[in-house]
Amino acid sequence: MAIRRKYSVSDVQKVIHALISKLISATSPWTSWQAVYGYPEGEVFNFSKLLVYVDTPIKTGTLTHQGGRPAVTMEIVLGCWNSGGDEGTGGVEECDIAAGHLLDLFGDVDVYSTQFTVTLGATTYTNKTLYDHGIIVTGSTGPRNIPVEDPLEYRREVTVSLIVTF
Amino acid sequence: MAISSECRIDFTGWEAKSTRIKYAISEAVKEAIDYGMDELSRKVTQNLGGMRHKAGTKSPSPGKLPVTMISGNLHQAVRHKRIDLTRGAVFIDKNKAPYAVHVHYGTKKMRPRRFMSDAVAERREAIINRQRYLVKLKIRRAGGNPSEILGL
Repeated sequence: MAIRRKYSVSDVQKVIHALISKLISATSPWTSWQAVYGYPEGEVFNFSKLLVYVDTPIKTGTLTHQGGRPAVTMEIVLGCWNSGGDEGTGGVEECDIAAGHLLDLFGDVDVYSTQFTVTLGATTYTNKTLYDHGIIVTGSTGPRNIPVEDPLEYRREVTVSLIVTF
Repeated sequence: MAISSECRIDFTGWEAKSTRIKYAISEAVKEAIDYGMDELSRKVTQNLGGMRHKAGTKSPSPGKLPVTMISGNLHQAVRHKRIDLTRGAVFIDKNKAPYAVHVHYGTKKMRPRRFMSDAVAERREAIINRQRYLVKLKIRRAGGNPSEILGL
């Protein structure tokens, strides 16, 4: 259990980002995309690739049981943003494919078999799984279509529900 | 002395109690939905009630709640309505603040300020607890046992 209670928000965000970055570095079709930690700021909007952003998680509740340390339930928004127009980066279809892959990733037990490396505080955890970090996925919903300003820009968001143990 | 040969079974008391409890639950649900909508609207309005700044100037706290105000239209656009007896909705009046969705989800130039989903996440547990209490209270007052009826 690597997640630190007092840093749970940023730690969970880093772990999920590391998981997605690992897939993006090694697995097709994830390699066509780009992972962003947090909301994509102006400078990353070069859109050479579709962006998969990992937004800040929100705590939604606490799970307590006698004799055990309480766990928290969280929701994290993962978004796909494609602004290369229909020619450059695959358009709306690419965005939907990315959203579908995110939904499938967090709706399948395979999410627990992907090993990745993440640094939390001063400690680097090498080749650990989501389960090793004490994160259990309870569901994923979406994709929600997010209105955008540019007609050739496409954006979807998926919400993933988690139980985080410490 | 004749012994009666019939055995009467009378469920009228049970039926009256069931009707009373059913009515109590429907009243409690109405009250619980109203409470949920009020509480959520209050929190959303609070999330939209940041300091005022002039049009054309940058927000003093970009990407943070409460959302800062220029015209104040979004702050005044929080509405709620009852959909049916068991459902209600809190929403933003699009005619009053058509830009609400961009404030909530962000744009290329503006970070998101999720005034609605943050309010839901923050108040969900408290609202559900209060709603559960309201339903239990009404059932108890109608002479029922909430644990038996709700299985809680």
